[in-house]
Order: sequence, then C-alpha cells, then structure tokens
Amino acid sequence: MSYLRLEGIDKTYRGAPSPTLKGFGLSMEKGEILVLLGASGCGKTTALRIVSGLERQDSGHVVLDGVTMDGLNPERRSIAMVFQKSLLFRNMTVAENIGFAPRLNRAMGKAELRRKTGEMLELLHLEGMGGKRVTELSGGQEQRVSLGRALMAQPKLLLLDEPLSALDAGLKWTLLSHIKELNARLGATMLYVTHDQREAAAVAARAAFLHGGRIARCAKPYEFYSRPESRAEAEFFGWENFIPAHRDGARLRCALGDFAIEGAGPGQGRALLCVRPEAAENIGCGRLRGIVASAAPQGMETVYEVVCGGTRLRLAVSARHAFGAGEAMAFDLSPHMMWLIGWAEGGGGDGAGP
Amino acid sequence: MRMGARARTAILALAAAALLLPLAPLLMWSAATYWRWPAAVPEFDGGYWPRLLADGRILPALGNSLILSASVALLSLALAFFAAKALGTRNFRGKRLVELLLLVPAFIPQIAVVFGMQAVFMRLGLYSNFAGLLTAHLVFYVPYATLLLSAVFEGYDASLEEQARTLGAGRLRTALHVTLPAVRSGIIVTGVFCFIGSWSVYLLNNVIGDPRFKTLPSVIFPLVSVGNNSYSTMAAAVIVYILPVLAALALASRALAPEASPGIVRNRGLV
Repeated sequence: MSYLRLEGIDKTYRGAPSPTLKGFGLSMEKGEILVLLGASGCGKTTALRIVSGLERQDSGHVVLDGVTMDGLNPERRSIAMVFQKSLLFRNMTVAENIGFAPRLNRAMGKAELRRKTGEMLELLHLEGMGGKRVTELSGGQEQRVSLGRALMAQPKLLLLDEPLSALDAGLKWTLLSHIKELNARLGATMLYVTHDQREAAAVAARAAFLHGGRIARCAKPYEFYSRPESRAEAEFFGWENFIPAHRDGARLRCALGDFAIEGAGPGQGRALLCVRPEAAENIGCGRLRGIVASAAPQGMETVYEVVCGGTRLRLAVSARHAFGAGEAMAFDLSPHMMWLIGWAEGGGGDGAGP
Repeated sequence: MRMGARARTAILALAAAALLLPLAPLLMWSAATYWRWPAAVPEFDGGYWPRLLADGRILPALGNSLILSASVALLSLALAFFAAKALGTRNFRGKRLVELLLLVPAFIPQIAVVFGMQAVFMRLGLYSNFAGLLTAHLVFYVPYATLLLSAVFEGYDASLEEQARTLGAGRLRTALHVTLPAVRSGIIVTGVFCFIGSWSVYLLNNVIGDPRFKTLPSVIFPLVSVGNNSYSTMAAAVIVYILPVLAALALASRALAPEASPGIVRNRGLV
C-alpha cells in the first residue's frame, strides 16, 4: 500500500465558477520525491494546502502512512511545508528558527537540540551561521534555513511549494542539488510543486501533471518532454506547433508532407502532429520550404514564425543563420522532436504512444 | 557609509538635550517660589513641592490616573487585537465602511457626546466611578487602537502562522511565539499612544468621573489655569503630570530597541 494516498479530492472555492480540484488522486512511496507539475493556477498549491491541512477538501481523503488525515488540524498531521517565501521568524536567530519545531514539542533535550541544529546547519552548508539574525541572510540562505527548519520537525511528509521560484537561476540549481542530497541522506518523503519543467526533471524521478483539476498523467519527467499524451501536456512541456494530420500507424500525412514518427504505436485516423520549436534542422538545405513571417532574436537562437504549406510554425534556429521577414527558409524537421497525439478539439486527447 | 559610534552617541545626546532642556526651567521653577531678574537661577526653597505632596488630592488622583490609563491601554489592545488583525490581513465587503466608522470617535469632538454619555451612564450606574470612566475612555480608545493596530497588521504576513502550524504549533502557541513577537513593536506603540491619550483626557474625566473618581487632570488643571499666577505651583503640577508620560515613552523606546527582539523568545522560555 502506498505511503501517501490522495483519493478523489474535490475542492471548489466559494464564488469560483468551476472546481479547482475534481477527483484529484495521487499516491507516492516512502522516501520518494514526487514533483507535482502544472500551469500557474491549475490547483497545485491548493492540493498541497489540502494535504497539509491548511485547507479543507469538499470531499475525498488524504491517507498518510495508513492514517486518515481528514479533519486533523495541520499541527497534528506531521506534514511540514516549505513555502515559496522563506517565512522565517524574524524575532529568532537562524538556530532558533531551525530548532523551532523540536523546542515546541519538547522532542529533545537542550544538548541534543544544539547538536542536531549544528548537524542540520552543516547539512545545509550554513556552518557557523546559527547565531545570525535571519535578516542578515541572502535569499538562498533563507530558503535553506526554511528547508532545515521543516526537516527538523521530522515530518512524515515534506511539502515544498515552489520553494525556489523566487531565486535566481544559479542559486536554484545549487539548492536543487541540496534538496536531492537531503532526500538521499535523510530519506525524507517529499512532494514538490513547481511550474518549471526543468526543475522537475532535475529534482525528481517521477512527476505528476495536474490539469483540469486532476492528475492527467504520472511519469518520468523525460517522458513528458518526449512523448506527451495530450495537447495540454505538450504545450506545458514546450511543444509549440500542432498540425492536424491523418495517420496510418507510424506514417502520417499533413500539410507539411508525409512523415514517419519514431515510436508511434498502431492507430489510424485523425491525429495531431506535435513539433517542438527546436525540431528545425538542415537549415538552408532541407526539403521543406517556408516563408519567414517574423523573427525574434533570443541570444544564441532566433525564434522564427515560418509559413510552410499553409501552416504557421514557430521554429528556434541557431543565431548563426539569419533570415529576414519575407525571405524563404529551407529546413527539415527532426523526427526525434515530433510526436503524435490523438485528435481532440480544445486540448486533451488520447495517448498515441506505443 | 556606516555611522561611527561616537557620531551616533553625539546625535542621541543632542536629541535628548532638545527634548529635556525645555524641562529645566520647569524643574527649577518647581523648587523655587521666587525667580526674579537678573538672577540666572532662582532662590531654591522647595517651591510648591511640600504643599503639593501634602495636598491630599494629588497622590490618589495620580494613582487613579495611572490605573485608569494603564487599564485603557491594556483593554483597548485586547479588544482591538482580533478586529485589527481581520482588518489588516483580510479583504471583505464593507471593509472601507468599517474603517470609516472607526474614525468617527476620533473626528467627533468629545464635547458633542459627553453630556449624552453622562445621562446614559447615570442610568446604568456607571457615573462617577472607575468602571464608568473606563468604559467612557474605551468608547474612544478601542476604535483608535483598532485603527493603529490594523495598520500594523497590514504589514504582517499571516502566512507565518500557517508556517508555524505546519511545524507543529497549535493556535495558542502560534499566537504566542509567532504572531505576538511579529507585531510586538506595533502593539507597544499602540499601547503607549492609548496610555498617553487616556492620560491627557480632561473633559470626559470631569463629566463622567467627577466628583467621586478624581483623576490627575481634574486636580491639576485648576492649578495651571489662568487665575493662578504662581509659576512654582504650575511647574510642580506640570512635572507631576508629564513624568508618567515620559516614563511610558522611555519604557517603550527600550522595548522597541532592535537588539531587544531576538532575545525575547529566549527570555520567554521558548529556547
């Protein structure tokens, strides 16, 4: 039986036109890091708040380690949470913040608390900073203290709600490696929410995609990138071109021509061809011909809008090639960066994977 | 560039001098009956102090005023706290109207309502006693404290409480260890303002408190009125009147010192 089970959770906020969560279900194992992914406003934070007890679900159950959490106040759940903001207690030092939970619960004596706090500071690479006021810390240090404070509560489950979104890129990757290290060394079970796909791929072995108030799919992060199962999922993971097509097994015909899609399983009929922007290759000598409608330089690459066979494509091309509006561009599309999903209007569709 | 310790001390000394020097003539006058030109200092003979201390009305009135103003400050804070928190941290329909209504006691002159209050308080048995005067003061100072504290809570992040609860703190512990320390400065300032405001009230004390519950303003103000031409009397009376206010300010400034905040948790036994 799974360590954490979320079963059929519904939540509609008062005055909201539609439910935020509808039949939301998820399970995870002890010691695992699972990333909950989804677009902004899709209900990720609501899901975490329901698990933590800060919000009550309209129906459904939260079961942790075999115990039903429904109706329990947050302080009785043994579920700690790290928020987007570090939310450190300004009237306490770094060490006092880290030792907040054990002191409250009188879970350990003073000497043991001092030792554990020292160990945690070391784990967080904050040695010698225990006596500092939290106002003296940088953003990254604050978030590390917040993480350490939550882990010192020795929770059965640690919820992380976009904890790194306010940090700059370099710091984010450093802290992601710290989180993985803490997970490996302490065996903490972590449910990590983010809207950043790259963060998800960096931190977790398994991700769950939340769409339409429920988990649309649970898979390895790479699978979301390479083999999306719906248009919403594809859009979220950076697929930008969707072309109506007719398929016959792995062969398909669309406005751009005929293609063979690697890995596509059996199936016939209408489908949606998904093409990643970075699929363009053999620039200047490919078999496809398009007219550049616009160009947006973005440093190392330029994003072109190219009209090809009556279809408008967004293609990211190395900045070495320069095309102006109205110029012709020859290119090919890499078969590794094309995928087929079932035909569906208005997003969503049946998986067409093998 | 960081200010040097000496420069900081000098500025503090200047500020203290600017605040306290005007009190020097008062102090000197209070201890002298005569101070005639061209003498640089008066002839110190104890001035009005012996008579003031012997006056059987002053010390009881001082005690009454201290108890009244301290009670007003504490009760205003207690009664205003949750309303101010809701006003400061939440948005709800009619919030602006509530804020406007809270301003009413501050804008309507006391004289416009005090005689009406007197009639009602007489019928309720709240005339000329501590409970009555305290209630009358609270009518004005609870809204005042609510407004001041709501401004404090506008800068308060209520997510801190959610954070504490997910770390295992119940509602009471969250309030004691997280909410109160976070808004401590605002609470102290609001309390001091309520104390000083209540301390200075004259009309309400005269109409609702007198004659059986005398406060310091009721006893002191006649001594410093136009008809009294003894500077010594006025100086001694004014000093008695302002000393508790200065003491309250000094206590507040000490409690507000930045280095006082991190230790407060340790001092309260959390660590």
